[in-house]
Amino acid sequence: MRPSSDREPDNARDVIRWVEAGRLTPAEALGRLRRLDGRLAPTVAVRVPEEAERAAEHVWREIDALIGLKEVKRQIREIWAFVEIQRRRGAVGLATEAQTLHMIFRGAPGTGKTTVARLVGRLFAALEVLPKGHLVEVERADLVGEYIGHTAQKTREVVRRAMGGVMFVDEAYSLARGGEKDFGKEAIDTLVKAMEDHKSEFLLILAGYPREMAAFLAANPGLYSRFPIHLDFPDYTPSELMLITEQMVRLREYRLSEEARAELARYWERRQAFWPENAGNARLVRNLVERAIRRQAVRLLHRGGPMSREDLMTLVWTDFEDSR
Amino acid sequence: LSAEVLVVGRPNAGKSLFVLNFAAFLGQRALRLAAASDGSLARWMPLERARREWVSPLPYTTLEPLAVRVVLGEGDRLLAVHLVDCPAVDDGSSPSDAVRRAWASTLARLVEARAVLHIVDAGVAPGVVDAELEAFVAPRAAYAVIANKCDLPGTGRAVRRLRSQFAPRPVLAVSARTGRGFPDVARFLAEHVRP
Repeated sequence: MRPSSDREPDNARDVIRWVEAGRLTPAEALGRLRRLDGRLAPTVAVRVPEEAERAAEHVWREIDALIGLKEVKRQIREIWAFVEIQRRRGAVGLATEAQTLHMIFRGAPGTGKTTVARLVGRLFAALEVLPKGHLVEVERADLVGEYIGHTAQKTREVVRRAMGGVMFVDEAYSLARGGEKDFGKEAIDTLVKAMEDHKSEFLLILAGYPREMAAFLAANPGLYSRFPIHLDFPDYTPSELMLITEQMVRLREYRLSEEARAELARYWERRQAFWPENAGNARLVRNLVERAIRRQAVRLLHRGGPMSREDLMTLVWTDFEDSR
Repeated sequence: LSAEVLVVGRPNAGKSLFVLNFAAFLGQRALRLAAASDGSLARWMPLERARREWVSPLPYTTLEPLAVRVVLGEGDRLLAVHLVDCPAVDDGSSPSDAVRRAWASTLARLVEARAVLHIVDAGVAPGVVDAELEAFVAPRAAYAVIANKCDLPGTGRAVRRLRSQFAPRPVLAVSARTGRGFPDVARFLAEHVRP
């Protein structure tokens, strides 16, 4: 009997051993591994229904892990349920509702609109509502051109990029500024046409400040009916901002000293009281944390001497104090 | 929340320089290096020193996979990604035990990979191993081809050729030296890499 190491390799480990022994080139090994594929770890390309469900669960867990946004999460859960039931109804031959899932996101900057849009795209990709689920973020300047005909061309190009995924128009109400002569109107018309021509091939999300969006939709009644889903993004509360701060610090492998934690909590409260507009903006958190990280570096180097792992990780209140 | 992205390709495609400069582009000033198999060996190294020690014009400078931790994303959705600079794989065989061991370690990682950046030198025709990498990896993992060295003249046509050869996979035109195309890579990873 031949020793087992001489047998043709029939599993990934043996294929790799043969490469090490010089009996296969990397290219040959990859070819063999490909043919062994059925016995290797599950692939992502071939989706069985349970896997689609798991993928959706996975994205949902990410959505659920977002800090705050309770109502947004509830509504997304509802949309998910709707899509799922329509799919199952279709599978047993029942009539299904047409799925118009275009959305309006109302909220101030830094309230999580883009983040949620990206996750919604991925959720819909997992549920196979959208083929790709990528996010194309645009604003007025990406859609509106400078001469007649230019706008339609620009807008169509953006739609083409968004095919299979999500087109996210930030500050969408700015398309309506400038009155009748403005090309913004042409961009809106082109978008509406694209929504008709490419039903369920892409998802359109219009986003902006609540009050401006309300006025925008009131002025364009044709739009209103095409966006059945409206999600509200409230400003973050001081305690939510604190949770976001801690999450961000943790992800960067830092930690907050006890004092820093207490003072930061007070800081977010104070901000809310004295400067309510823009106080709930999570982007402030990132700036704050990044500046504190730089301050900490200067502080440590200035102090000199030996630095423990603890020292290197800890952000103290003075790091934040000067950086506000 | 963290994920692993393998950086693979033939010798001298520019994998190590790509990993270092891309990490710098993402705002890392010092790198946390870990021998990828064992996180406990983590050590910090300033970027400049890593470039000196880690990148060279000689093939097979990288014989041990090295991981660099970077943070992707925005707002309160951040994703820590370990970019793993894998030893090269190449066509043909090698008389060196060390090289063959390095090949084997890269292949073993590829079997488990969930996200792969495949670096090719835009100035050099892809090898058999490049075609095999695509065929094995692309159906199993998030996958993009990075056409590197696009700062060199005449690479525009090469990139178009790569695009048709690797279609429908994404081929991103990049220069690890100048940072060209890094935003596209960041966008690709943000969209396709999951924890």
